[in-house]
Amino acid sequence: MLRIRSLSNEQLGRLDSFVPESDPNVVAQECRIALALLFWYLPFIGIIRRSTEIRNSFEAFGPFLRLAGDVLEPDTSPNERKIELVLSSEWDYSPFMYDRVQNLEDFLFIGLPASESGNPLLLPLAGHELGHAVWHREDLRKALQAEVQAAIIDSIGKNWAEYQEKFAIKIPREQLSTDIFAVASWRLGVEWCLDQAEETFCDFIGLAIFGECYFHAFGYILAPGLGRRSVRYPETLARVQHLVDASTQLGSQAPNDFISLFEKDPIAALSPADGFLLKMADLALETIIPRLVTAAKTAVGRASISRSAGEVLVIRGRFDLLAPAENCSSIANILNAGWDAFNDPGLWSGYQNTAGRKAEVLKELILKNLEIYEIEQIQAQ
Amino acid sequence: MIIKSDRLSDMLAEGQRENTKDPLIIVPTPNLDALRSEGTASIDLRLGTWFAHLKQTQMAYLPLLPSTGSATVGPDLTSTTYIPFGSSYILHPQSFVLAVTLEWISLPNDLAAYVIGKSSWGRAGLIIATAAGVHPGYKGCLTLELTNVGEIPIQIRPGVRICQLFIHKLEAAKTGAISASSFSGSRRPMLRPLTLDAFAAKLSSAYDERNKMHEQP
Repeated sequence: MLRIRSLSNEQLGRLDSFVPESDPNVVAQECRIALALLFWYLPFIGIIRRSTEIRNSFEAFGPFLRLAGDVLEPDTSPNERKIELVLSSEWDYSPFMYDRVQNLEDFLFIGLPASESGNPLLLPLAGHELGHAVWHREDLRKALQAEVQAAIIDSIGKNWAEYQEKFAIKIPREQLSTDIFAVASWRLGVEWCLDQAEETFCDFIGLAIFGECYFHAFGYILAPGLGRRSVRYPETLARVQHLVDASTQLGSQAPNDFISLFEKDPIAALSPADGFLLKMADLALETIIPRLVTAAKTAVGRASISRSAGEVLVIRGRFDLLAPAENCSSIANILNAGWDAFNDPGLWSGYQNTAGRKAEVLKELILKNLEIYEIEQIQAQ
Repeated sequence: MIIKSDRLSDMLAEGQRENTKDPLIIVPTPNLDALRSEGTASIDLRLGTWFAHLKQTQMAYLPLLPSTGSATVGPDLTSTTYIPFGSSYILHPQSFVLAVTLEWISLPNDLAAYVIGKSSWGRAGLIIATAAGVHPGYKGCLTLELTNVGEIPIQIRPGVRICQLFIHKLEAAKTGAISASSFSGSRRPMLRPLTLDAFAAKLSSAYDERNKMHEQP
């Protein structure tokens, strides 16, 4: 906020410096800059403002900031990390993440759904949003561009007759990557595939960081699907299948029948040509999945995030006693124990006074456990 | 019988072991070695991060009782504040705020406790708790009722030692049923409406009916 205020004051100073004799064109230009500044930063002021609402899970902030530092600045000691985090709860388009905002480059703005703001069980979704920051920092879009382009051209080549019919471009097949009109016809497919790759990669990052509980949070918020097919996201069933397929490599196991929670997205309302391009983007995505899994595994591997089934059991044992656990080594273990308790219909059956309050009390307990974890981290520094 | 700190230290250490049934748990666990050597009769507890105070309203009184109209005690009447570690809360003279202990307490069925202020705060005018009893089987952070009865503002900060817990052994305690009031499971302070028991409800209704008769023309 101080930085935004400083920028605004700077601009205000320029406006104040004008005198009646000032060139009206210059004045108008400075006014346009001031309006652009307002237009650009107002949403971020809103996010910062909403991040201070008491509906937020404040206890999650410290642990998540540490986690973000571990993932994004693994080689920097915790005290020297530059990353700043705004963890907010939002009504629109959430969960979301803004990264590399002009003049706020070291800030990550993560918005989680406002309707679930007090629910720590959905924190694994913030792992997906963190994935976007990894994607940007490692410039994976650029790194994958050539591979995706080759895959799109290859897919079009395999569906040549359909391509010619949809685009009415009559060129030899070998000119697909050189003819200016042909290139213009499939370029959008490359962009869509790269967007889908980013979302898939972020899923893998969330899964690699949090393990099984990522599946639960993902299913909780997304099942049975988005209700529409977006060209920028993989088809929901394919997306879920990729997650399940990657789980073993990323060190976790998908819940039984996880895929059955989801439905196929409705067909996107696109022109025949765009429909074809989307099909090509989907096919191209399949070819780069192994690379995305490896990239996610490498990125999270550098962060050395502890995930231990044994520790999850110990934390779960504490939850059974209606008490938070101590000496936890990661928030992933706490959240996995939390989801395990949430999914247990027999939880606290021995206690008489928990009826109707189990979910509420469990959330309190998990948030307290996150606070305890943070206290221990501060004490250990 | 009040349990001495060295015994409490043993009980807390026992509670940290896996598979202990119905243990005494205080998290974050106090320094057990210090507790063992102190030889005191209580455990110090720290101030938590959540505070709740009553908002200034146009209501004539606080509608705690069920028969006092449609307004009920809830989030609308209180303002909740989160004070992160390193920040302070200023409690002004004559003001009242609900706070919580940093520690999450889990009392077994055979222990009860009293939460009492610390003299160092008391001498500065800070009264810590007025509803001091903690029932057996209680789980959650303890709600503290903080009042500054002095004449100058008092600065308090999450993490500081704010009160002390005297733990008692219950005689002839049975495992099993725990009274409904013993359970909290909450990390934040909350104002809760009162419920009338059958005895008070009967008295209230008799009084209400007599009033209605007098009101009839």
